[in-house]
Amino acid sequence: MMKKLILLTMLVLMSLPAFSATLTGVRYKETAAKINAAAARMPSMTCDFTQTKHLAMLREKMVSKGKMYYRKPDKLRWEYVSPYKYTFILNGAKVSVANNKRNDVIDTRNNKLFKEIARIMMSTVTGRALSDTGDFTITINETAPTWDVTLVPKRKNIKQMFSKIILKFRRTDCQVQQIELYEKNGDRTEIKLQNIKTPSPVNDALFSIS
Amino acid sequence: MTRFLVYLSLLLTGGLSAYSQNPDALPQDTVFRYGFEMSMQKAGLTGVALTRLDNNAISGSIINEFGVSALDFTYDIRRGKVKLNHVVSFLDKWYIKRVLRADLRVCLDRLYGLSDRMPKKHDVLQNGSTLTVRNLAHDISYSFTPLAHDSQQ
Repeated sequence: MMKKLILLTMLVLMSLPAFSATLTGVRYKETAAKINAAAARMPSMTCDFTQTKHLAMLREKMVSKGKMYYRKPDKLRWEYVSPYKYTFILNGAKVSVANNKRNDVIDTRNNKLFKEIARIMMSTVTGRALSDTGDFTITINETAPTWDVTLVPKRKNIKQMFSKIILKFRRTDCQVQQIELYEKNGDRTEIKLQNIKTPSPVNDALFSIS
Repeated sequence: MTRFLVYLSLLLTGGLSAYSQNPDALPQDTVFRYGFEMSMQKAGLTGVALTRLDNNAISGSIINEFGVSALDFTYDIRRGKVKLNHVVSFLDKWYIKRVLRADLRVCLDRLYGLSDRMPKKHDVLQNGSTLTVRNLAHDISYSFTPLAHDSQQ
């Protein structure tokens, strides 16, 4: 009888949904502060990434892979290696986008769209997005391994691109593990960061824009 | 009566021969992936184009390298009509969409071997595996280069 009771208890516990809670009040503020502080402290980072685009209309996914390099405060290199070659470099106010055939340099001071793209990329991969309360409505959901931060855009230009962005931070070190981008047409892009090294020596040449 | 039947059969034959390839003979439900580039006078778009043929309609998406959607479309092959299901904001103007619909039809007809017709003010170039369609009136070009197959897709 006792054995049956223990087995039944275990079955009930195993069937419960994974732990998840939306943070509010003091808990929210403390967690947001921890994540912001960790992002502000991070001097540099390198990682590999796998980007999976889920296309709603085609019922298909597209996988791309690459490498990312970051140096505080405003240098980012996002480089795709398969199945296409494409490099995005942000260095201060300048952005360079290059593929096999062309290389374009944009000054973000003169191009609002690229300025927004650069800002979103920088703040999502570093975790600084929690400071963007003017641009996003932010909620934090706590799970066992992660804090899942949901950013819902307030401004029209970002709303046109994304309905929401979710950043998943590892709770042990407040490090971004995954970025999810949700679009209005039902598409979703997941970017998983792997082999994360921080701090990491990063050569200046990687951010060079000619 | 006989003359009527002859005319009818000529009409039907003529209609069928407008296709270089019978859509029913094309690989159904296979997704093709291309490196994509669209160049205009003052702007451009690069990324990936994905297409799938399913029951006489080609569905497609054009996304940029970051995965952000630029275009979703459906091409009804029998009716010869392209429908734009989703368009990124900087292309979302009626006069641009009208040109896009016409140009996408030319591109898809060539990519799938559906038609050899050359519409007025268009040009087609095959350079190795890259197909380029040019709209000469508006100075827009569309290039499609097959992407290497990734077994993890």
